[in-house]
Amino acid sequence: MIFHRILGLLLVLLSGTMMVCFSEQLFFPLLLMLLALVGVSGRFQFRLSRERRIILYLVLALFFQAVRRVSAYFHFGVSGFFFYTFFYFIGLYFLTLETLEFFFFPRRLPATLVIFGTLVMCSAGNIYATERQDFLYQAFALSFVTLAALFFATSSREALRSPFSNSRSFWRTLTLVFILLTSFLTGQQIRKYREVISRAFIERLARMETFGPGFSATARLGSVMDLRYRLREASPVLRVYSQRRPGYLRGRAYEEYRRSEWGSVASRRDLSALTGVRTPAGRNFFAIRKTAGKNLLTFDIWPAPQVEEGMFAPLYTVYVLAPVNVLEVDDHSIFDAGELIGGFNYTDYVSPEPLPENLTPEQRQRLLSVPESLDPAVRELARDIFQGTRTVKEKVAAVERYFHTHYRYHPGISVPLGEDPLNYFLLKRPAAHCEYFASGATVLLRLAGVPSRYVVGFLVEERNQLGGYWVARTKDAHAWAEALSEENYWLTVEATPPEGLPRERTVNQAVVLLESISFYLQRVQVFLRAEFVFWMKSFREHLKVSGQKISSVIANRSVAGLASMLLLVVIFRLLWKRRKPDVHRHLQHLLRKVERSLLWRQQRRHHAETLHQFAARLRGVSLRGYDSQRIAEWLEAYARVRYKGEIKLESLQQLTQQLRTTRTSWWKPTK
Amino acid sequence: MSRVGSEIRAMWAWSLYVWRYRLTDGGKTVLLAISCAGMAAAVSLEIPLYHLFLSLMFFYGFSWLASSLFQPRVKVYGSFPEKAMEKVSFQVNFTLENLSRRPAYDVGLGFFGLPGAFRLKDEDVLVPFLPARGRARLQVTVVPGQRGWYQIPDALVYTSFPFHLRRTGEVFHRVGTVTVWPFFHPLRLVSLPLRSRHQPGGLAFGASCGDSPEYIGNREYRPGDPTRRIDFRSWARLARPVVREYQEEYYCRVGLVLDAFVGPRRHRRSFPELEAAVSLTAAVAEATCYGEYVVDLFAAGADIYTFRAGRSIGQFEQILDILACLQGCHQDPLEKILPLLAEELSRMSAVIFIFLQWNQLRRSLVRIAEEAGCLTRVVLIRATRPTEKRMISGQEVIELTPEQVLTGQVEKI
Repeated sequence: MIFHRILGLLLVLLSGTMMVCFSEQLFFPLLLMLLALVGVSGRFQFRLSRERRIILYLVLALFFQAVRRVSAYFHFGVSGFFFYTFFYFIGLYFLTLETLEFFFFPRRLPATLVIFGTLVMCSAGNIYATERQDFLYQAFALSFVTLAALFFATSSREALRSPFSNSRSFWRTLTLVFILLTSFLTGQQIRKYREVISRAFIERLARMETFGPGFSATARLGSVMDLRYRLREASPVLRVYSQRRPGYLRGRAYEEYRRSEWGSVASRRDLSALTGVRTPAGRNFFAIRKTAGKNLLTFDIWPAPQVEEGMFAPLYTVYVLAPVNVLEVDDHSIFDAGELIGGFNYTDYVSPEPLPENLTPEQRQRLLSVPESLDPAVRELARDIFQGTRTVKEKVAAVERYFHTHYRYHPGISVPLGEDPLNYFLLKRPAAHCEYFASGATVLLRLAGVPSRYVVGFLVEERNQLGGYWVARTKDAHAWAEALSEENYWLTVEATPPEGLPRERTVNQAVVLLESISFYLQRVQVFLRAEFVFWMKSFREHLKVSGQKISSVIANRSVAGLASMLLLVVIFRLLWKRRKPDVHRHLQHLLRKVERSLLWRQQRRHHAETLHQFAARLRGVSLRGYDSQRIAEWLEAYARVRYKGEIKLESLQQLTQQLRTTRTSWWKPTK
Repeated sequence: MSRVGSEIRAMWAWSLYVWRYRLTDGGKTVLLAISCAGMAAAVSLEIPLYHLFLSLMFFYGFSWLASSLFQPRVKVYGSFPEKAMEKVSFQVNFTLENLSRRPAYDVGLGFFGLPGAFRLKDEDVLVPFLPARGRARLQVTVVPGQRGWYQIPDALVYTSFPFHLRRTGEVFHRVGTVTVWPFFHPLRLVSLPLRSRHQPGGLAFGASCGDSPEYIGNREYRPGDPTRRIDFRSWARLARPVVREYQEEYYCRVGLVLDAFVGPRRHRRSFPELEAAVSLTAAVAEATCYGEYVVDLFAAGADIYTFRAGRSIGQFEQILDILACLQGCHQDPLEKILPLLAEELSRMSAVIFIFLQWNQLRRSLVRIAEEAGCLTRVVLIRATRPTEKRMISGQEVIELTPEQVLTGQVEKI
């Protein structure tokens, strides 16, 4: 067994050496290593139950936390290579636990030694490693695995009888060599290509995390395409409860095209909640427009929890009911709220009739401006398209007809290097996707003197019959144009050929069911969060303040902090001891109880009277509620227990039980 | 959906099986270490933690591969004994025969899912080296902790080579069933009232002593007497059937009545009084069966067993078998068996009652036995010590606590 323990010691020495190497702190790791050396023989043992060991580990954790708070190491900066000093103390803590195992287990060491060792390695490895340090760490890791393998191989009694005999050792060694070799080579390769791997990994993560492209301050041509085809196509983004098909839900609108991307210089203003309107708890009412129509339609919109940016609404949205305090609205009636929590719903109130919009001359000018990079041939093209058209509606119809008849839809477009994408699209007429059609239509309409803008959002056509709501998925992301009519109404311009439009599709019933369940869970979650979010916030704040106070006390008054820790340990230790029943006290209590009862019956024990004498005197007396014979026997038994050596708990119990038998009926005096 | 549910359940059960039985402590530790290192390494590749993660991963992976390659082809001979005594460890010797042309390493027998009453003294007993086509002996020490009848699950023949991280193997060896008899301390029956009584059922032999078949006289025929004992001459002379009577037909026949009423809403197994009563009954049965008595009637719980037809040899084992499987009754069984018991008692010489309760029903049972001419002995097992002596028909009720019985403080009754 000593061989097994020596391997355990080597594991501790390895962990300790690594701590010294990477932290440049010698004292404490060295002390622990020496302690492990003392404990390897198994002579010094502390037998603790499992529960007590766990409690000890917790107390040690508190101790290390306290030391971290008060130590100079913390206050005067990090001298080693560790990212955070926190990890240094975690490493020390687990190294301590690793060492303590030698004192708790006299024979075979437990497998937890390897877990503790791993955690020390993890703590020590939190470094921005140079080439040399990386190599050193790899060497430590390989040594650690070698020792762990030998440690496990020698953990059984039989294995220890012949650890290095016959062909078994050969195969074992061969396996170990394979392990080390493969680990070494793979580690080297990862180190070589770590930047490439990191980038690929981070990009992948970034794609999974966000739904942002297309709905940010600028919209590159192709960003909506990314959302539609490159990310999780079928993920539901919005769920909408409405009486009618939601259709176009606007996310962002842009009026300025520059360098193949759309941007907006529209002014934004904060909207305060309407006062005097009764709303559900935690929600506020906002007026987006000054004029409101009649018979407003409601669109209850539930964004997916991942969608934390942007709010969506149909054109001519008048009011919004949302769980926010302030709403931000721009000139295009696009609104947003930074404080909106992902997954929380809001309600849009929409006018079914078009509402006029009065633009300032500056706004109108911006909506008519064409890109500087626009090819003069495009102007000629616009002239041809709009030839013979007079009204805005005719011009819109002409531009839609032009794109539908002369273009094909294709997800993606390859623009030659150096070409402006929009010029190339309008002049060479390649197959393209919605963003190009919307951009082309906007620019052509502007050339025809129609104020227009580029809009991105979702075209919602799919209905979940089971849940009774409409669903917008990532693949329903879309771009279109809006043109201002002569009556100052905004018209939707759909220039994308019909085959490229998001349309109603059949979804697998199982998917529908799963999505309904997931949505139901989201609603439950929203409900719970809405109910408890304020309480949680206040509680967290309270906790934070208290925690800061406590930690500042400990940090600033280190001695007081340590003393309080010690005091806590002492109190804990005192409480921990199983309290033994005080038999003497209990015995006295019993006698007092009996004497008090007898006093009620005019029987008092005199000062000089022994218990036996008192018992003899009681034998002939009538006692209401007591059998005098039995009470006398009880007193004698009491005297025997009390004055005959050590008082046992059993005797006490027996006396208590015997006392119960002395009682008789209250109305029946006995002799 | 139900299919998906069953798939998930099956996967969960499989994972649980692998975690509990296929992975050793070392294997579990390495998997946890891989998780910790993996989580830490996932933060960034800028920190060199991935070396540790990779090393641990390859360590586990190659160990798994090696153990699969060295999976043993072994035949096992040996099985558990049919009978065992509670709390008394026994050793089982298994012989492992390697059927492969390659040697096998670190071969062990795994008894997974062993009933909770059984405990293996050493968890992993291994044969470090099993030569090709060779044999090796493997000794397993088992401690049965609770009486009963147990189906032992099949044993898995596995190898934990090379680093004792995983138990790999597929060969299952059928082990069988074990009856665990209750543990008892030997007991001396002092002054058990002796009174020979005629037994109309036939001959019986005591285990160690008995009466010689000596002719002692004639008596009137009683229903049940064998016809070959009829003394026809005497019948002719007296004009009524008369049989010859031999000494051997008179024997001190003992009845054992064990009370198994644990009361309502009590768990049948966690009742120390019952366990003590079972242990005491076993001790009394041993003292009677190997003494000058024959246990002719045994009432345990709600069942009555009579051993009249057979010889007394082997009765003790039968009683132990019954006691091994006896469970506590939530309803008083005496109410049910009292009429039948009263009828049987008339044929007994003596009856030993082992009660867990003391009430009117039990008092009346003892009186019935006495009225039937049986001499009685009453033992009452209660958790609390008696405060006063209980008497019935002039004799004292022996009151014992479970501790007294189970720790062997009772040497005689």
